Amino acid sequence: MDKFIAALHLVMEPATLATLVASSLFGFAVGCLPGLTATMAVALLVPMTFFMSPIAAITSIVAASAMAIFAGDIPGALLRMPGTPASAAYVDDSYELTKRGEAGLVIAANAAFSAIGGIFGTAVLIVAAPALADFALDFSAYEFFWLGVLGLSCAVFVAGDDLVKGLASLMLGLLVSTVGMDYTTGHPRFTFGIVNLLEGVSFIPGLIGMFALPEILRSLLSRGEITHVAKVTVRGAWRKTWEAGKRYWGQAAGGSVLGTIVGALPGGGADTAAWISYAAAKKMSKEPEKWGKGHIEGIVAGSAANNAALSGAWIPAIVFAIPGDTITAIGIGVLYLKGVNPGPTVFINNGELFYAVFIIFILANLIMFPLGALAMRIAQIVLRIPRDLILPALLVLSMTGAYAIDSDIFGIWILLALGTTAYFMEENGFPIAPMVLGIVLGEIVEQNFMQALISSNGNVLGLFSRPIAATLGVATIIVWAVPLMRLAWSRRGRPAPASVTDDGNRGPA
Amino acid sequence: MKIGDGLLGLIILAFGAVVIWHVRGFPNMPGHYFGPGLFPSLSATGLIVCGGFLLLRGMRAAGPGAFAFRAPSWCGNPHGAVSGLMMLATILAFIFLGEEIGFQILGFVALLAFYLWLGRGPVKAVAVAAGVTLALDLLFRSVLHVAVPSGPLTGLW
Repeated sequence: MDKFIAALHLVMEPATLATLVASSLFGFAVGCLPGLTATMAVALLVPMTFFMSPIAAITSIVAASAMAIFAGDIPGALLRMPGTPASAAYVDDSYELTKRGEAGLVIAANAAFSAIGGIFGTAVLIVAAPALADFALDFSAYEFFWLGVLGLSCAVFVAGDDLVKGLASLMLGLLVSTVGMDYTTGHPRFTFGIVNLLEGVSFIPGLIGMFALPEILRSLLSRGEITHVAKVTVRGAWRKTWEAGKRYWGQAAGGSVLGTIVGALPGGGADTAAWISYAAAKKMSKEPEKWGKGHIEGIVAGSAANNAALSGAWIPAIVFAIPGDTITAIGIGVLYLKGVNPGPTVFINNGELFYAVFIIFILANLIMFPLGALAMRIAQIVLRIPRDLILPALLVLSMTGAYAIDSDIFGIWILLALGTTAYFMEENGFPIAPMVLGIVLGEIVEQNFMQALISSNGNVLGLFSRPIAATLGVATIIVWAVPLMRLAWSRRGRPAPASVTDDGNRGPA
Repeated sequence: MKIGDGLLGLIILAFGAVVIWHVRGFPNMPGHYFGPGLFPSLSATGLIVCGGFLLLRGMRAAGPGAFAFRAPSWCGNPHGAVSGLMMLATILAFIFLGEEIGFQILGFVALLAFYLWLGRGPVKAVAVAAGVTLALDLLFRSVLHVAVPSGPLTGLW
């Protein structure tokens, strides 16, 4: 109880509350702009967290991401252009309802069920994280190594349809994470005489580059002005949302549960959660023929799922320092920047802070109701702001952020190098989420791997010598073996796919 | 720029091989058969395996696209191509001139150039470029106390 009261004091500080509102508004603006993702909103916020308190810094990430995911639904409804990939699953239903004059209902439902999903995910986080942390207190390098490998494996399988490209993306990320002085001997690796690389590739400029540059470039290339934005009818929207909630509470609950589970899987993310939840709800629907033609049921399930996934992704991030998605990968980076190391001891070492984070999660979701109401009134104005004015400003903001992390121009080199790599990879169907998770987790996985190898005198089988480590190791092997066997089985006798494809790949939320 | 899977596989495979060749020179830990090169070698082996699979996929597809380059989408869009080049030029200008002339001048000039190129009138372009530069400068330096590349105008306000 003492910790809870201390946490409440942390949250009620004016600076924290102001950060909550300001970050929510920033997330709203970025989420509303088609093509710009929630991850980008969060990446651009990181430099601004340097001089914030740890709780304000985490508040900015949680609030901006939650609001951006909700706001991504708004252009989906009004323009048939999802603001973030997490809103793509139900965009047809949203737009069809708008054409019938129900845009108000769509935005109100998006806000309400996003908040419900987010709060459900937070409830699971509050219950599961301390219990898991308690369980993981005895973990050693062996268990953490396997947890990391298992997490990265899930990231590859969930990130996209092309397993080989997902794995290549991960391997590249792991390789990037090895740049700099080696953990065991201090030997410089891949530094090529560049002193700035001795400490490794600076993580934050890399993330800003990977998430911001490709999106800004693509938006500049596909220049188009928004000329017509559908009108939003506010009257009766909340009443209709309440009725939809009463009718489709099962879909909201199902979306929340599925979203939390998918979110907690490393690499899952809000967009995957929305697609899976939409598909599952459609399968169980009594009126599947109405789906895609302006039916609120899928919007209920999908909106709840994508925001639940955001909260779910923090479970492995806080307890094991394994990010569930790209947003929590950035969140972990911010925690380290602030000297708060996530892991099983967080609730012992930083109890009040994490209870405060839980309260922030709830507030960040509750604020969606007033901001949802505001969104109905200002959505048309925000969507009419010319993108031409915003994109160059975002470019300058990205570079300033990349510089600010170490007050060094080298950060902008990293931004350019990794941004160009990410653009090239996405153009060729490589998902970038596994690479990001590889960069974030690579150092931890390698350190635990080397520590475990040294402890077992170089015996690889020693990695299986503790019961939980052995279980995790076998689980990892099964995770890889089963899909590979199914892949080999299904490919027998089937012609190979075409080589240069126009397939889009799933990006970050 | 899109590249056929076969050629992509070849590039990835070659890159993995170069990494393995490079890390052979890393020393082992005293008394052990492994050292700083182990983890990068494992990652590079993964890349070689992936490259091999992509190469095989390209060979099995056997179409003309498997080892082909396809021109990037902006090739047929001169306006977009110039915008992309301006983006690259802005980043390089920040890298090479950032600490010489500072964020305030560079940011303003870059934004002004973009707004003029993207079709804004001169008055509006100057006003918005100046406003955005000033707002970002104030946000970073005064509100957040975060460093920006400094130059002759830094500290004048």
